[in-house]
Amino acid sequence: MSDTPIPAPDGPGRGRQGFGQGVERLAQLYASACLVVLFTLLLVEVACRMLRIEFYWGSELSGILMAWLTVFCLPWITRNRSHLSADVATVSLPEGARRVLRYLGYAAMLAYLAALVWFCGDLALKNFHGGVRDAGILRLPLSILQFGVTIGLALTFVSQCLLMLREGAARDLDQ
Amino acid sequence: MTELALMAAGVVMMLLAGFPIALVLGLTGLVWTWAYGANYLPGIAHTVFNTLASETLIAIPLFILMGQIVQQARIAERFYEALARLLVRLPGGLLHANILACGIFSAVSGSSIATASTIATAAVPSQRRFAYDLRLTTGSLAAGGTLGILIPPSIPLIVYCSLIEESVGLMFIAALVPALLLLVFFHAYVLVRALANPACAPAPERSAGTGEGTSFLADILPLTIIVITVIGTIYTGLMTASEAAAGGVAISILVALAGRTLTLPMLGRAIVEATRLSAMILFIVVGAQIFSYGVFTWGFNAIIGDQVAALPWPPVAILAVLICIYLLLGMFVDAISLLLMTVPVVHPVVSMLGYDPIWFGVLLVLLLEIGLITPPVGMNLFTIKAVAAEVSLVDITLGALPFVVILLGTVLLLILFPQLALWLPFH
Repeated sequence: MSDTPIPAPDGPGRGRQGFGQGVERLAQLYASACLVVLFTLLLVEVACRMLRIEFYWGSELSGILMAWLTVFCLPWITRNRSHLSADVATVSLPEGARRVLRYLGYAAMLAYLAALVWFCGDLALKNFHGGVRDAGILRLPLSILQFGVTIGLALTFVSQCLLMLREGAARDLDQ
Repeated sequence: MTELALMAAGVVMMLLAGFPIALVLGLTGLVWTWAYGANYLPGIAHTVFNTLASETLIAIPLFILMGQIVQQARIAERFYEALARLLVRLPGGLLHANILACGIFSAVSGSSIATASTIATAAVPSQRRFAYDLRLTTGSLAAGGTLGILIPPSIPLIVYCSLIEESVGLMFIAALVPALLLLVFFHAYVLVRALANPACAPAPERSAGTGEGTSFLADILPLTIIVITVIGTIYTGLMTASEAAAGGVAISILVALAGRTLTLPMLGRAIVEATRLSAMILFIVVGAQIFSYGVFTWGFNAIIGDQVAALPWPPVAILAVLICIYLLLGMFVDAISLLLMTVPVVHPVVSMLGYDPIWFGVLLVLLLEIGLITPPVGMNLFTIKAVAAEVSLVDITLGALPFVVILLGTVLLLILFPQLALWLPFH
């Protein structure tokens, strides 16, 4: 795991951070709800199969739910730096060098997330306008999954921006 | 080849800079796809959507949830304590309980770190009290924990199957015999050490006994039922891996309810923790798939395949080189990340050499297990250190070293007798 989370700043930045954390908590709650629904649907599908009742929602919706639970949890993971990294080489560096690398990491992550939001959003819009549906029995519109993923990635982008601002604010306070 | 070297250098530099693995893989794939041709970039969106909605990966959040419930309801700890009471009089006593409990708990957790930390929390205090050799104790716990990624349901095996598009059920069945073999070897080592030097695992003067029969069964049965349900339904083909995972969650909840250890806050914590861990893993998988997209767009996999084919070496020599690379990388990169970074490039090579991808999956996980208990980035060593703070990391590492040798021996056996992994899934 990476470094420890950065403490929240006092002063004007606090309201912005508080709002950001509130949104992250809501997104996390939504992601957890997706997991509960995923579990329930799969269980109901197994039971229905044993009772020879036709029920497709488990297999049809599980992909959508898993995609949503992943992306809506990402803002929390980004804020708490719970993502895996190989920080063997950086732990021995002086604090200044580590800070520079952290900012480079933020910039790279923001560029990566921005590109993902752009391409995913573009495809979701095209599929929405084209009325494209998946190949399953229920023929659900593909844009349901795709807009959800795009929104989750966009939230992660915002969370990453707030995190970078918070680190900057914490540093100003230190000085 | 210049492009390939540049890509590899970029990955290494970002890894050394401490960037998150998901970012290293995803950004590399993105940049190199853009460098090949901007018109290929929209394909990345398809990769993201297809990966996140992949049927194979659906089992991951559910298996993690099952492990969390078992861990938080203290089912695993009670199982360990019952095993300890049963095995304490054997030569090696509680050390056997360490390994066996790790093996059984692996079958519900799917994670090495969860296995090592849960069992170590229950095991270390009693072994400290009985004056066991702490180096051997912590070594056996670190090594026992590695079984978490081999014994089905294993999360790395599910991820591997999603990358190579193989059946998760077949993969799980293939891992079963090597996992049992490893378990036997670990027990044999502990037995030999205890017989040679009884002071390393002294029997207590007065055994606590196995307790009353009903209490013993009440502690042993819950985990056993969960394991048999999950593995049994997959093995008999009654359920797919994802359905078995959902079934496992349901059984875990019922077992925790029956044991009166289930509370709503606990269930809530387990759900939130499972969501977070799953999202963390799946974000890396998305990055790895974008990385693969970049690799395939440039045709790097074909270039490497051609280069390997042109080598005047027999397949086993190339396999030996791959094994050495994995052992080296495993010292620095964690198991899932290493798997995700290398499989897109290594899998075509292994297939071209004529090796079965299912067999290679089991071999690969064994190599990843070694990485978990070799410094400087042996995640299980750190996990045990966190539980047994008074034991130095050097002692834990030295205690785990004989188990590394056993793991290497199992790798060799698997190369000499591939049927150890391949017989069961195809019969």
